[in-house]
Amino acid sequence: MHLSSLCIDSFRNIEKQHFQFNSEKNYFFGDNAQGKTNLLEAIYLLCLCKSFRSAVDQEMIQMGKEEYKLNGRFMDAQNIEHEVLFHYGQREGKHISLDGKPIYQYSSLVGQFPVVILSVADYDITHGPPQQRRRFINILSSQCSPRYLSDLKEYERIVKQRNKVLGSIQSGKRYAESELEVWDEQLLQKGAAVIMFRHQIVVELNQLIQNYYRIIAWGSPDIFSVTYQPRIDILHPGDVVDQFRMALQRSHKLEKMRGMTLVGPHRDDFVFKIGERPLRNYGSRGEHKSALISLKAAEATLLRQRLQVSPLLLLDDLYAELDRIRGEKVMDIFSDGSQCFITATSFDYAALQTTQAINDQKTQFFVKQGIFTLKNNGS
Amino acid sequence: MRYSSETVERAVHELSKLPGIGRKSAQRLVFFLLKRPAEDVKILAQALLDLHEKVKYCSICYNITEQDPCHICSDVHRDQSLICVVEEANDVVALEKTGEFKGLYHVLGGAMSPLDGIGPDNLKMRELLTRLTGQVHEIILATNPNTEGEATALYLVKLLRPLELKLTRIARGIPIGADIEYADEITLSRAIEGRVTL
Repeated sequence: MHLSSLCIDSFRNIEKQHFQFNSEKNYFFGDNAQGKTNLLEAIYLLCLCKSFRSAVDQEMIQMGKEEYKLNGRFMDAQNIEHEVLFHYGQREGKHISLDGKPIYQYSSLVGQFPVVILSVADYDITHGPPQQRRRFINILSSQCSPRYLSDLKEYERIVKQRNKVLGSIQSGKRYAESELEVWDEQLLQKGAAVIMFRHQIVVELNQLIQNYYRIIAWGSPDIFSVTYQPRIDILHPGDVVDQFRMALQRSHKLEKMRGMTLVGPHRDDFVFKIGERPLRNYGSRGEHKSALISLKAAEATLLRQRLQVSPLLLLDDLYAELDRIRGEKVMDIFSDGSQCFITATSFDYAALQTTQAINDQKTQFFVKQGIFTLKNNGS
Repeated sequence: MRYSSETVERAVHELSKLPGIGRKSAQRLVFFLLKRPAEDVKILAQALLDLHEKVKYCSICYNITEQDPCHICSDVHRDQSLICVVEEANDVVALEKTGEFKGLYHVLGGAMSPLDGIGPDNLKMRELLTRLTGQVHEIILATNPNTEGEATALYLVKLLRPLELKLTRIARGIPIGADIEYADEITLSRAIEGRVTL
């Protein structure tokens, strides 16, 4: 699958622009704060209906304008064209359509045009708090399985309802105790489904990241790994509901005191290690970047394997913090049939001129103050 | 914008309180009504007044009705041993349209949702218990197949289990007449989960 063209109107600092993209690699060079990431954000919005940066649509409208429009044409694996229209206006709100038909449930679009983003904010996956790791796993899993997304949304709703009941109990309303049980049962069923899917995804991810890390961090004898750490024993996957039930019973007393749900997948964590060292505490900045690149390459491969469709790869500021050798090798691990959108600084551009990889690429754009121009290199 | 007529202003204000009606739509409705013959508007006003004067809840099943007990509860030809529990009066209308169900109903008046401040005490659950004399043999739980409807069904199961009645839950799956290829993935995967042996 690839994005063949894109029209942007009044989105962040991009006034009006029409793009024809290369089905393999598209480079965007420019100084800082010129609009490179804004372009990636627009593409991401078309794929997942939400931004990887701020969640506020209002902020994405160009200064002084009242609405923004995005129009993307995707070519699927069977060479059939699909048009996604994304329109947000201050008054009208958000309207999305696929092939001319309005989409009311944005979740139905998730997974149709799979996408992987690598951006500065993703350092938080290996570096930040657990919620960033859950977010990463949730976006990946939701693109793999609509059922996962539906289970997760229901689970989150149940947690909210249950927390309200626990809050009533905490504030002394004893009658609420009789209500707790009915939310418990649903929490267990949906929670167990989420846990089991996450477990499976992490197993698959783990095999892939080791391989990619070996390529990007060549010469390093260490193995990069990820382990799932649910607060529930899942050694015997058939018994997840029972294990969850026991964990819930153990924490009931504490939950009533604190007024919130304390066990379950909404509090899961995932541990990344290089060799025996937990990356979060001990990794250098460069190691984090190598780990992140392996993780994103693995995410793309996993999506490709499960969906039989190559995802779009949005690689923001790809070359930052990579040394010369890693910089030269990095595109090798992403060249697996996926269409890539790579942003890099003017500084990287100069460095890349000496490598063969960049000179083979036909589609290079230069960005200045929101205006993208195609490099005419005569090839 | 304010109108020179206080009456118009008040009508717009009242109409805009209705669900799905914003101020703009309310204005359009008011100007439409202003242009209608007075007689038509009177009929509408009377219909609205009657809603509160004539319509009440059945003291047995809590469906909306003009006579108490409602025509379903007072129909001796209906199967008195079967009660179908639903969330809203609308659900009764839907089930009645099928013409298949010959038992009685019980309208809860909503579903449990702590976030909206609705607990068992806000629903007609105790009233259901008082109906369960020796005559009733089966209760069908027909609350919606969503988080809140499921919780309500589970709560009722807990409540009714000791009474040793037959408790059933409506099935969920692919709509009749629909093609499998057009069903959404979630419905389809649940339908496979809930498959039956032939």
